Amino acid sequence: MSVPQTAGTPRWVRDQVVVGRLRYTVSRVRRNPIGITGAVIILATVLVAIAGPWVWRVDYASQASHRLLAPSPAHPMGTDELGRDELARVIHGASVSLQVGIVAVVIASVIGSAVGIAAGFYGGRADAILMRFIDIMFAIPVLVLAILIAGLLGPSRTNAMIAIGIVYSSAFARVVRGSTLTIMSLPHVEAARSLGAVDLRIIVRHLVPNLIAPLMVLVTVYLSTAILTEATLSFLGLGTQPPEPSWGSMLNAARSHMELAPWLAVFPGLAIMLVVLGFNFLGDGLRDVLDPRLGEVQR
Amino acid sequence: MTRYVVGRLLLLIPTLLGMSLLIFVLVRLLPGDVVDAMLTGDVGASAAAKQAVRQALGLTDPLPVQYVKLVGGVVTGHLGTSLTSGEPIARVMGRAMPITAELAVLAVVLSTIVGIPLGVLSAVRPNTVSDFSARVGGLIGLSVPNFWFATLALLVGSLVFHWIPPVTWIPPWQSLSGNLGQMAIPAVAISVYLMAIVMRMTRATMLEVLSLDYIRTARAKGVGGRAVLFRHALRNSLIPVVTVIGFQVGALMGGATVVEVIFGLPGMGYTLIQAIFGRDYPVIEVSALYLAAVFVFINLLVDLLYGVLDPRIEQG
Amino acid sequence: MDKRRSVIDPILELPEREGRLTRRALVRAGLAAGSSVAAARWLQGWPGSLGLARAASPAPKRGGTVTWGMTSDPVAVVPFGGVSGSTFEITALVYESLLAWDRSLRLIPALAVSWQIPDDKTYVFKLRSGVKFHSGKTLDADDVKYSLELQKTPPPPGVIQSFYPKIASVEVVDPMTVRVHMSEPDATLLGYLAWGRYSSIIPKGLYDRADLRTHADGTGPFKLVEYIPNDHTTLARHTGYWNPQLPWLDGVTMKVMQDEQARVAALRSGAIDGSTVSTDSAQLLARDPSLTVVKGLTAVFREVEMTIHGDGKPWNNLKVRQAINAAINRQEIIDKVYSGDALYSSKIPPGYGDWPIPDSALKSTYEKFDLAKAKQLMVDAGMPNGFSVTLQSIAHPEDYTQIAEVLKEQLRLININVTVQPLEIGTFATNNGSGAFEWQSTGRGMRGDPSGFIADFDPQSALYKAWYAGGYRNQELTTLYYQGLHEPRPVKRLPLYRRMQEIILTEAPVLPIVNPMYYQVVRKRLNGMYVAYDATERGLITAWTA
Repeated sequence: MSVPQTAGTPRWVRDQVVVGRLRYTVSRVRRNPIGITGAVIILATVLVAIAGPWVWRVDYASQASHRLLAPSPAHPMGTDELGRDELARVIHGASVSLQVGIVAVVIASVIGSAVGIAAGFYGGRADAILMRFIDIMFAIPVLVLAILIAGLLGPSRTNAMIAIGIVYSSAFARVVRGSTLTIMSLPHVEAARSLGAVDLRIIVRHLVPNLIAPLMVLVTVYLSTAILTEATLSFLGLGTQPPEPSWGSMLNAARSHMELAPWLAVFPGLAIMLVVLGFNFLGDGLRDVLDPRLGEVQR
Repeated sequence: MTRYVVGRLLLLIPTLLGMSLLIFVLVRLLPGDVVDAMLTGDVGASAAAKQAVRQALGLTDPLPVQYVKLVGGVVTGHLGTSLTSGEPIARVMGRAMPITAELAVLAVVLSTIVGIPLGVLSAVRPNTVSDFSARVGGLIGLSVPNFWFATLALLVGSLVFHWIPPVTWIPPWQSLSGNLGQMAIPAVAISVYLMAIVMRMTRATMLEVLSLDYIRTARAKGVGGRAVLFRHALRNSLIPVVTVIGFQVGALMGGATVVEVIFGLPGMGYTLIQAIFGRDYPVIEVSALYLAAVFVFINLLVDLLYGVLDPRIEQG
Repeated sequence: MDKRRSVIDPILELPEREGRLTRRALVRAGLAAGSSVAAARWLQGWPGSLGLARAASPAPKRGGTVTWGMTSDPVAVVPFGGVSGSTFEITALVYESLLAWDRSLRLIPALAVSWQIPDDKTYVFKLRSGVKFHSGKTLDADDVKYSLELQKTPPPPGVIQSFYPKIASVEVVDPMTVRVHMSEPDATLLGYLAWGRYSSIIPKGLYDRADLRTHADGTGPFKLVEYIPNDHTTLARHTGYWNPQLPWLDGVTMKVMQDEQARVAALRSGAIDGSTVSTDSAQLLARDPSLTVVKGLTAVFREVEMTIHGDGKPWNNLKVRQAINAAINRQEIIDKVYSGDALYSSKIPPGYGDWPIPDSALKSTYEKFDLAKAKQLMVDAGMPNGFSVTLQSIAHPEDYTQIAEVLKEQLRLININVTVQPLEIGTFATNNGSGAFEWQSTGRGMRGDPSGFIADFDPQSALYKAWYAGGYRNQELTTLYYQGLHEPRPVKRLPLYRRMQEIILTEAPVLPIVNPMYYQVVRKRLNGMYVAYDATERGLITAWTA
């Protein structure tokens, strides 16, 4: 969806086209309640993550209370197995889980985009080599990589995010490469290239704007996947380490107390569900708005 | 076509070599080795004594030599022996492989035979009760971690039905019904996530395809509704589904590892993570390599299927 | 009826030591077995039992197989050498040593029926006659000589361990008598043999004939049928066992089930007949009418270890360590992490015979929680503003890290900023062995001899060099340690070990924390099970199915 760059088009024509396109996009957004719902949920989560600790001023690590208390006015979500306030932990978990998702996805998209653009742009030998690189990333089971990194650098949230990001980068690379190939074969891009335009200019001017759409869709999908993967890692003792809570590790710890204190699983579980819902709605909405013919994951 | 396949198969070699090198390096960088892992502190063994054990196990050879031995072993079929139990790795994998393979296959089968019809149903009857319940179910499947589902299933089974899957693995060649009864719950636990994705994918592409011009034209021409659906729309919807299953192989592997730990099934995932914790290098290296080969191979299959399903796509 | 005949036949075939097997001997044997079972059931669930079958309990009888849920894989079933705790769970049922312990850790005969100590460097053991290995071979002195000598330098994957007594040579006097010559007086020999973890007796030349990581040939009540790593171990009754009554069970399948929730579900549904569970799960399962909860102490007490190298780190200062010790509220740890079911622990854990310092003294003096005193000590040491430290812990099982977290909160009150760093076991063990840590939250284990608990402070040991070299040395402690090693009379040793514990608890180079109760839950069909102090399942030897 690029603005016509043909030399000679008057400025005011180009501006009109841009405004027209914007208006069109805005009207599509308005007609997309699902996407808006998703955006609202995510914004609310971000708000809770940032402002929550200020509103509910209880230390999530303080073990002052009795363990496994049921929800009550003093502890609206009860207490966990060491006497810590569950609500405070769920609130803090929001920021942890969002961080996990964001960092993992940032790593994945940066690595993936770099590799994918290079592969699609330069083609030929470089493409073949980079595709092998992508295959290798793809072939490593995420758990194996996470355990290895945890063993090397110690189990921690950061290292889990790195592992998740590296493994996801192969999916990003594939999609970016596919889109790059498609865009590179567009007539006006081929023309620009043959006219001797500098590589960087082509990348910035033509590629990047057109990659934003599929990237955004991927990002929303993998953000929720990353949160779940971190939960699986905490099942093995990797991922977020105590006393810091993440919804995934809280869910895992709650398994041992399912009968004595089921609320310990319900609250983080609902939180995860809500955030996954939000990201998925947002992704659906984005897909509809940006390009209805985008389809799902592309090659 | 054949050239393409052969070409891709040949490309497996550098991929696997790169993979084996990466794993080898990462694993050897891990602090501690099998000797440290086996002697958990209390034994108070001296450094010299530990070194003697390392020598006996072949761990004191220079690293490049060890790597060459590994690759040479894999190529010639001598997969080596486990450092902790002394069992030939071929035997270890022969025992573990069928379990994980069965879990993965069952999971894929389950997710397709449940996910696709649900997705179709949802697309064909939009905004009805069945549509909403399918979508809500899909959402739950997407957001519940598999270890939770497995634990919940065990809890319900033991409390309500006083039954859980048998704890010792029953090979399918020994008793097919026993084996399926044992693998059913673990397979479902893994497949739930994939099922949800498949369902959503099918629904999305079905919706899209159903509104395409040529479907409308076919309908206008008077071709029966059912025929239209199942012949044109479904076929085209399968492409992204197949693609996404290919992408999810890694996640399936992770899920399989989790249920193997929970249900006590000695499959590839469980064996691999035990080997990592115990620093059993040969087992780690050979298993990881094997899994990588499987992933890449499945990837190739997906690409080929892609070509079969959509002849518009060029190969190569 | 037919079954009983085949049971009696092996008894009749066994040549008894005193000559022909008489009916009186049989009855005596039966009574002995019966009363030991009764004693076992009485001691079961100490202190205080939960849901234990009372007066109307069935009498032991032969038959039945049992499936037991193991918490981790045995790794290798080697008889001696470098072994992990879960290996010992299998070898305790398959192999035996010359001596054994009763439930109060008193020495009793096993493969040796009697022993004499003619002088302080010589032990003479008379072997039990008619003992058969699983392969059918009869035990004689050559096997004992082979085993004891090989234990000094075990073949791989074995490693020389520090518990091997100062045995100079083993002499075969006659096929049923062995004379052990010590290079110096060493009081640890008998305990080393009774413990059995490193002192299994195997047939001569076994290491040359079989791969003992996955195969076994011992004299124990169960023989190894198969061991599938990461899966299960199958044991069957050794029909040639020297005690004709035991074991009652026909076989045991030890299934590896790492996940606690899966074990709980398996117990409820009857898929397994018994397993070890956490405190919370035990409380939950106590309500289940088809299950019995058994609890007892083990030797696996928890402690916080420190490296002290005289390098300027704050805890090199004695007062700082004493402050930390006074700031630790062990009762809170017991309540929070173990639901109240744990005991204070000294450097020798409670339950280890008469050796440990009594609980009352620990609570009132050596491990008394006194926050005011702790703060004062920090001020006296010149550290009122505290310091930062990293506390490594094992990530799985979780209670090690939970202890660390509680400690973190407690030490915050004296301004010590603790960073808890959970590690996976391989890395943790490596750091532990090489001293690459500041503090570690860990657990210790069983020892054959009380000196084993003090061995960390032996200046010649590898652990001392890794943890304390250049930083901590107490001359009185070192002197007492060597004295204790050489003094054979228990009545003389006891005050020595009391004094050693006092020194350690007062100077706090290491911080023993608590000794938690160990819970095992069994289905009602499995009777006679008890928690063994060495954390094995040796209760299965005297257990039976209803």
